[in-house]
Amino acid sequence: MRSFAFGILLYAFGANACALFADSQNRLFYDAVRAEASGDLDSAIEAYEGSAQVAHSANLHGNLANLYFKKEQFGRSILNYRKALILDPDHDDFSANLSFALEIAQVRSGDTDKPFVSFKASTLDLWTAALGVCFWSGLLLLSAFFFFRMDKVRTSIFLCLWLGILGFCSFGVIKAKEKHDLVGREVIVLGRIPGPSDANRSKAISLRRFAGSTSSANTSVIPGESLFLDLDDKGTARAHLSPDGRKWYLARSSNGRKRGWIRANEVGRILETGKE
Amino acid sequence: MFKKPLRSSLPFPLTVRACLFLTAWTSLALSLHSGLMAQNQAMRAEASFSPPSITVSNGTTYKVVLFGTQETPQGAIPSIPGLTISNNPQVFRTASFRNGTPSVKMEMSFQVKPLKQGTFILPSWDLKVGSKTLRVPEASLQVLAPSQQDLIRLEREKQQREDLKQAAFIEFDAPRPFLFEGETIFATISLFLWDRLPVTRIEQAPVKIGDSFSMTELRQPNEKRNVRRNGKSYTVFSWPIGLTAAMAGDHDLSFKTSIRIRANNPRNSPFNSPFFNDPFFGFGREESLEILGPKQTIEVRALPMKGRPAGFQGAIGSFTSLSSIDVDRVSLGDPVRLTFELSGTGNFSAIPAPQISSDKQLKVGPPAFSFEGNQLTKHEGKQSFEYILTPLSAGLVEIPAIKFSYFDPLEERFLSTRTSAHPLRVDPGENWNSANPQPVVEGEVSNEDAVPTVDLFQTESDPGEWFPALQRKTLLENTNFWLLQLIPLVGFCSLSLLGFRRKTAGIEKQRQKENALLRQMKDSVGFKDAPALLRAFRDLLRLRIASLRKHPNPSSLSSEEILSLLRLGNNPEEIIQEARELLRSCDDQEFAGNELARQPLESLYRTSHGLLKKLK
Repeated sequence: MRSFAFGILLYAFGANACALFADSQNRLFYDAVRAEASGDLDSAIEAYEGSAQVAHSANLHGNLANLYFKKEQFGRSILNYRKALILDPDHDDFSANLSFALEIAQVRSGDTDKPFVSFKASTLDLWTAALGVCFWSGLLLLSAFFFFRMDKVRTSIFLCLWLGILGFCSFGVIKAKEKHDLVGREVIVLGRIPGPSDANRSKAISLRRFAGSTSSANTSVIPGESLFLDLDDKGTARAHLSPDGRKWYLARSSNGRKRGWIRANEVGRILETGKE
Repeated sequence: MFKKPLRSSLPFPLTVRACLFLTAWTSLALSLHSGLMAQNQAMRAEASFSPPSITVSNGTTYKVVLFGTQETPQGAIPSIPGLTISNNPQVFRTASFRNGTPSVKMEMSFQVKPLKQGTFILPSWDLKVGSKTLRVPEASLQVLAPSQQDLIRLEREKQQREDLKQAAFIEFDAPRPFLFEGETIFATISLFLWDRLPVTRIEQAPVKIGDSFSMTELRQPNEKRNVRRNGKSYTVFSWPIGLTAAMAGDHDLSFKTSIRIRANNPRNSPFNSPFFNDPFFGFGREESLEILGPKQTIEVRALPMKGRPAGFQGAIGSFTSLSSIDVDRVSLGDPVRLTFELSGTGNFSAIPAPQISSDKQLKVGPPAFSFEGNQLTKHEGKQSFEYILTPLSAGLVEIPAIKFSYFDPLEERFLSTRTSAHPLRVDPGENWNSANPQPVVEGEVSNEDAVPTVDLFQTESDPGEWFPALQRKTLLENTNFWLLQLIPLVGFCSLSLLGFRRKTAGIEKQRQKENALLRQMKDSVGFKDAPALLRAFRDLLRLRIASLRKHPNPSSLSSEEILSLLRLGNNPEEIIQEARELLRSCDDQEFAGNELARQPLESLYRTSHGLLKKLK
């Protein structure tokens, strides 16, 4: 009886402890919300970043983007809005906030999601599903026509229509896949990391001709700007490790006009692809 | 002439050496032949008390002497009521020569302490020596009444025992002689150390003896000097604790601890506590002294079932509650902090956060805990639960009152407190799209202070759905998606197969039908049955032409329709004319009876068969 009672007590304690310490991402998130409500933005950012190390949510990255915006770190703000929109592409607030942040950061909106809005990366699944449905339904209808001996004229009209829809859906899949792959290579310029004796107050970051700090700049980009990493033969980001231990990426703008080497810690990848 | 004895003429060292040699030989001989001697000597046992007459406060020795053996015997002394006989005898073995006869014996001495006066007779008992059994004779002991000296010594010993108890002891102070199940009370464990006791340190904080209670951790004790008790001066070390009763019933509770003291020679003390004999306690070795507190029986009462509120979650004590919100007007989606504070005394460590459920107007996040007060006992103080609420709709929202139920052990009944509800005005929020951002001129450094950040960005106070990674698998990478394609593939294959089988079945059926009609035509020639020949021909023509022109119902085709279908197939005019003649013959035969019977059937068959072959 005693051991039973103690067992219950132990279980109650254990359950309580589990409830308290489980769900670390939630705990960190709420800690961050409290810290933000208290006005301690740095602690809030730290807690949100800690939570993002464990798991991702659209609201988490949205809140983090808001905080970075308030701290005027527009590069990180834009990066987190992009992450939030990847998780919740239909969130109007995030889209609007991103546009606003881009505007404030003086960054021209990248064309990743602009020219063919319907073919954006987030619609890849939709296009894939549509292609599958169209393909099979058309094929089944054709086989039904064959089964019921539908006349050739009607069958031909249907076949043309079907092939047209199939072609359109395939185009959608291809374009969306292209965008999807492009997002996988996309990085956002976070900001310049000045050295201890760096008197340069400019926010612009150089895209260098060679992977080294002493290399002359090809061109420059500003925080929040979108770049795309060049890939090597293996499909991984083309990188170089300089003798001082710094990692460099070869990146280019969406239109290809700006191209050069940039430090790995000056950019943030939207998707952690694991292909490093 | 007197001759000197030889021994005296020997030089001294030589004499000593000779003596040593002789002694060694004697010892060796004794030891070598002790077994033989023992065998030669008859074994017997004697027993007696020494002294045989004592007072009740003194002790005596029970001696058992075994002659003729030195082997360790085995046996058990019978127990005598009123006598305490030790189990650890002193053993003494001897070997000697008596009148040239070797003799061995073994003597065992047992300490005996009488408990009462009277005459005690220890009956004879058996001892086993090797394979032999010896009978130990009975022995008698007379215990007389205590003398005056004995009485004085007893009194002194009693006093010393009392002094020892009073030199160091533990007291446990509880506010009430009873507890309720799950109740936490504030109590104090006090260790009293007599100032004359040479304590070097407290080895161990008091340890609870009693599984029915749980106790909070003990930290550094409070020290209080010159506390008078029992006419002595003490230093008191006290530990505050929170004591929680785990289960109902009467349960024993006591505490023990150990201290380190400086000790003198222990053999001088009758109680192994030599400091009583040494007024200066010396500077000898250290010794551990265990102090056991008195056992207390505490009644633990079960909580009554009567009047127990539905929302009771195990809080026992006396509490007051208060709730507050940090703002009373927010924009939609902005977080609001609701703080519920519980003050008073009770089992704070066991009180869960009150449940506040989300509804259509408010979304409630999990609470954060904080306690102000004695963190060790958590018995008295203020417990705060902080909730993050997110308004979900604009307008005047009411944050509901929080009801808290607890059991008051003093009033011995359940009580409830209720905080007041808080009105919260939720504004719809500004549509930041309408805000006009600062116009940015190319190349111009923007005014950083002008960045409107306060009203345009809202923070979600709820994390929403969690994802393990940002990049999710697309449908193209999803195995299930590809497996799902098997379903329509199977459907398609089935339909195609069925269609094909149906088509081939129709062709075969038509072929069989045509063959049958062709056979019928041939047979009709043999039987000279012109009507049958023409009927079979017309049916066959209908089938052929319907098959060629994909007519769904061949049997419904009239002669004119057959001809028009033949024209559609670009058949030569001769064939059409021939077909017309034959069809007319068929019609004539059908409507004019046997007028055509005169026509040669052989030529009719050849013509019709040839026509059927030429059809396209």
